[in-house]
Amino acid sequence: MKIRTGFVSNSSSTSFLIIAKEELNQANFFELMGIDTDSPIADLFEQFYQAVIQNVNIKIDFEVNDEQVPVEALFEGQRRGDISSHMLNKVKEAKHQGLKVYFGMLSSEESLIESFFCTDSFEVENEKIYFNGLECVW
Amino acid sequence: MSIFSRLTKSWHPILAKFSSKEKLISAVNSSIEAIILPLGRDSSTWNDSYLIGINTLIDEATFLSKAKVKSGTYAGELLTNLYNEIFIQSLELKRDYLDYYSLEYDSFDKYIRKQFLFTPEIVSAVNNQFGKCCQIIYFHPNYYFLQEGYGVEFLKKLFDIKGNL
Repeated sequence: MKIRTGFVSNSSSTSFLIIAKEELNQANFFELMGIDTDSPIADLFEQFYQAVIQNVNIKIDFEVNDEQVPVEALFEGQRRGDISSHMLNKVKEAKHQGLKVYFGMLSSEESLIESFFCTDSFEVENEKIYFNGLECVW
Repeated sequence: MSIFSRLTKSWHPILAKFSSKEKLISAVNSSIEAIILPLGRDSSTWNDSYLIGINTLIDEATFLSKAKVKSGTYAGELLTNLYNEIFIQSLELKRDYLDYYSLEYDSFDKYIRKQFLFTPEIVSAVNNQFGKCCQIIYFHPNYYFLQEGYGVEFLKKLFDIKGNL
């Protein structure tokens, strides 16, 4: 029998969904997160924002998107389980309201900051942006 | 929730130094100075740990305000959890020594050396701050991003440390 001591761990990637009235940018991302741009710890959320922007796989603007295409078809090819029924319902609402949708994945294999937010689970919303990070569960 | 509703004098003796709410507010409004000493990776938890020496009590509202985050938001929750980890859940070594361990160890440096097996360099650095610090906190962060070099830089920015105490 072999006995392994020390860490045994696996890596993971977890999905996120952002729905916005306007184009997503750092200013409205900071506003959603509740941090001032001149915060002494702004760097943490700048890196979070950059990780999100760099990992958007699907961007849909429902103002100009073909209404005939069902929402489910827009996410074909994504890993099963990465987009929950809750997320799909949110996308359907976004389609109805003509909003912008960003869908992507964060990885635990990248930077310390991305790994942290990849493994956190949250759902936040203000009057401009909805951010679903609920699938971020290990 | 104010510091007074969560920390009662009965289990947080350091508050007993303040006879009224006004005195505490006066203390937290004075300038905050702190020292962060990284202790490296703990072999049992595989996490980095720190000693934080601070010259005044900080309540949660002041902590969030200095970090420029809004209560009730994602960043606010993150900082509230961090506040709780540092100021509520961590060991406060100065208080513990004065209240309990001073009977067993005749000096603070002997206490932290023998009880926690800190290196002589760390013992000396902390002991030098004993008189200046209101609290000396032994902090084991749960947040993953507080590991490695980023953790030290983050805590220094958070406590606005440009130099040591």
